[in-house]
Amino acid sequence: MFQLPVLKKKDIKLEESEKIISFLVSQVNNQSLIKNILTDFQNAHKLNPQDKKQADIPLLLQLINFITTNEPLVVKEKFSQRELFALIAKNFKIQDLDDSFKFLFLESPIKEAHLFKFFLKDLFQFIRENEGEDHLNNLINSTLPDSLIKEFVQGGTELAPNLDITKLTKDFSLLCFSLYHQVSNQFGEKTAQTIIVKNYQKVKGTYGTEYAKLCLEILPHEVLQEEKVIFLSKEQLLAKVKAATEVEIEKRTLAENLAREVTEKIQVIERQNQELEKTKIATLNLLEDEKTLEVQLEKEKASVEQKVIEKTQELVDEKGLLFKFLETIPFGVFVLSASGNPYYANSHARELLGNAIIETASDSLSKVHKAYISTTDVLYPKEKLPIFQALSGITSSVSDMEILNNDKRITVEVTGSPIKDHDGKVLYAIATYTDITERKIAERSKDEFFSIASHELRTPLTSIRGNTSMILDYFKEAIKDKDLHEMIDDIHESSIRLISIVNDFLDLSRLEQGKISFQNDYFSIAQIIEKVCEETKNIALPKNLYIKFEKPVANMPPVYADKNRVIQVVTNLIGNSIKYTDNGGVTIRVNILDNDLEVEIKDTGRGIPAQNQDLLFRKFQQASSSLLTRDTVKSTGLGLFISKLLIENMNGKIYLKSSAENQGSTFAFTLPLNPISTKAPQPVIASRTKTSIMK
Amino acid sequence: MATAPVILLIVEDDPLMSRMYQKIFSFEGYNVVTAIDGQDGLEKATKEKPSLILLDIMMPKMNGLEVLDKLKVNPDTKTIPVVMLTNLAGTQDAEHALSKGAVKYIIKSEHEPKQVANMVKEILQGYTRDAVPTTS
Repeated sequence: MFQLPVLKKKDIKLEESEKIISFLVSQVNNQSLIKNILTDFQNAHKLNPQDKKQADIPLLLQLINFITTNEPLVVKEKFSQRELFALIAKNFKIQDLDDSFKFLFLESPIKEAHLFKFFLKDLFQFIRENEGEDHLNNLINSTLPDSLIKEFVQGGTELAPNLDITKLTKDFSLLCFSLYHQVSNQFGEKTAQTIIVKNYQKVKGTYGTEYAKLCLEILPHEVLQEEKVIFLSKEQLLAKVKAATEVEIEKRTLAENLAREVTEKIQVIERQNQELEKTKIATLNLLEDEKTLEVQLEKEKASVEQKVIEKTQELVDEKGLLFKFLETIPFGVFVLSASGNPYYANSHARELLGNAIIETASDSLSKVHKAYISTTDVLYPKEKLPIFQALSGITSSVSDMEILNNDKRITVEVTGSPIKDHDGKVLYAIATYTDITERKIAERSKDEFFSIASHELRTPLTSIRGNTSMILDYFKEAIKDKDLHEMIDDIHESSIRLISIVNDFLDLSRLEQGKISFQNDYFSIAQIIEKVCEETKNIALPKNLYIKFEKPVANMPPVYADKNRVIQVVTNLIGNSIKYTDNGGVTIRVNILDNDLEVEIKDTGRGIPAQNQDLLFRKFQQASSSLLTRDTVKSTGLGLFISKLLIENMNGKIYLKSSAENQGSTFAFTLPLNPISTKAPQPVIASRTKTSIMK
Repeated sequence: MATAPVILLIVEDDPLMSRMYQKIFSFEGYNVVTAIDGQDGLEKATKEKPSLILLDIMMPKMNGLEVLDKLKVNPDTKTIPVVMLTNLAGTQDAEHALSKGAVKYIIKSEHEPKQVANMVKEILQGYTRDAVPTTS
């Protein structure tokens, strides 16, 4: 075990420096590693105190360096330089150390200030010795007029605590520069350099290269360049290595990032690949489906085409059939297209209107098929032609057209109607032409028949009636004979009866044929009734019957009907009443209903048994069930039926209001107060409907 | 009875009817002139200047309506009252005659000759257009 030569027990006073060193040594576990240092130390102790002090410094610094650069187990504890210095400063009496030792434990930048001062010591000394103290002070003052280190440099020991290391270094540089050049100028560059070099070596030897490097910083540029270069180089190398290392690290990081990105990208591409695969499969499937559909479509198309062919044939056949129908029907069919040009004419139409019709343009149509107004030479106006009305969308019918066909006039009934599409636009105009010449002739002859029939029948009857009447009136003497008189009377009566029958037949026929036109107008019913009562008094009187008209007190509204026909009906009803009454008489009343007037004719005659009442208003019925059981003396049995037809044609109603055997009957009819919107008088069909019996 | 005999013209083609009316008016004291057709009637109307003309509608060659028109055009005859005689079924023609200027129309079969004579008397007395005769 090494022992400090001077090391004794505590009661022997040691140099502070030795204490420190002792402490430092104790920090090293494996002292064999610092054997060299300790050997030097032992050797140093043989020196004189002055030199010994000097030797302590490097030793101290070496120890510190060793401790701070080695790890525990080699050393007791790990310290940084700063920490170790601070520890020593704390535990030992720094102030007892030699100056050249002491400053090492001071804080930076005070430490550096002391170092620099030490470094420049010999330079100061030289100038002091060769040029005097004053000169040196002047130099210092002029170089550092305001500097904080001025006093320190000139011998003081105090320094301001807030000294800045950069400023300090700069000031010392200036100072060094000044001093060096002073010496260099006065005593030669070599002298100056020698001093500097010597100092430098001293610092290097004593304190180490770290501190030596610091001193280089305050030297003028050209001094000790080689040393600087070495350091610089070392520094540059370090920097370069550091930079290179940094670059390397950067490159490595970049490479890693790239590698990561590449990996990611590969993953993405792999995913996309998978997607692509899926899409490919799907597309293949679709293509397959498409193909299947195509095949299906082809099949269907073929099937549809076949159907179309079949349907077309059907339609062609149907069309052919329809045209056959059109050709066969016994009237002319003529069709114009919407433009007015002939589209089709069946054979009848062509016969009737001429073959040229199918080729004619619409304008000349009426000229070509020469249509005239019946019984005239006036050309039928074009706009009234049903076929042209049809082009405008109007359905119409005329029966007063005559067509000149080979010098013969043919009366036609023409009906025109449009064929429209579902929007109402006219597509075609179609007209039918029916030859009605025969019908017209028949109609005319029927009209003539009625005229002639009535005339021809009535004339001889009138003769019989008139002559017998005149015999009875003007030849009373000649027919004094009772039988003769009676015979003439019977002849007269017969003629009247016959005339009545003929009238009834004619009326009935004409009513049923619709040949009777009704001249409807407003008139007073009371007036009519009074007139008829007056005229029928002649028949009533011989039978001692009364005819009473119970005229209402209030004003009666006029009725709307054919006056003459109403007279006919009233006469018929009153006449019937008189016929079937032996005692009493006939009473006529008028009642006002909502929209009608009611005329009541009440008699006190024999009445009508219930089971016969239904038969009343029928043709030839006389309210008796058997054909043979007829009272033909009284009438033909047509009177009520004719009255019914007449009344109904005038929008009224006729009915048996009440009847009781041996008590009498009440007949009634209504007439409207206002015209009812009806068509032109139609032939009233005699229908076997029950008459309305109002109780 | 009128002092001066009144002349009546009867235009009627049917001899049965002609004879009948001739008798009644004679019995009633009129002077009766007969014509067998329209042409004859027009001549006689101008020549005899009757007080009244009885005119049948249905006649050959010229019917009663045509004769009426001609009578009403001729200044010599247009003032003579004309009574139409008819046995036709419909009364349209007769009514038409009224609008042409006839005073009345009579349906022959409906009246006794005496009634016809009375009607004529009334017309001659009043010379007014009567109401439409009733049909019964």
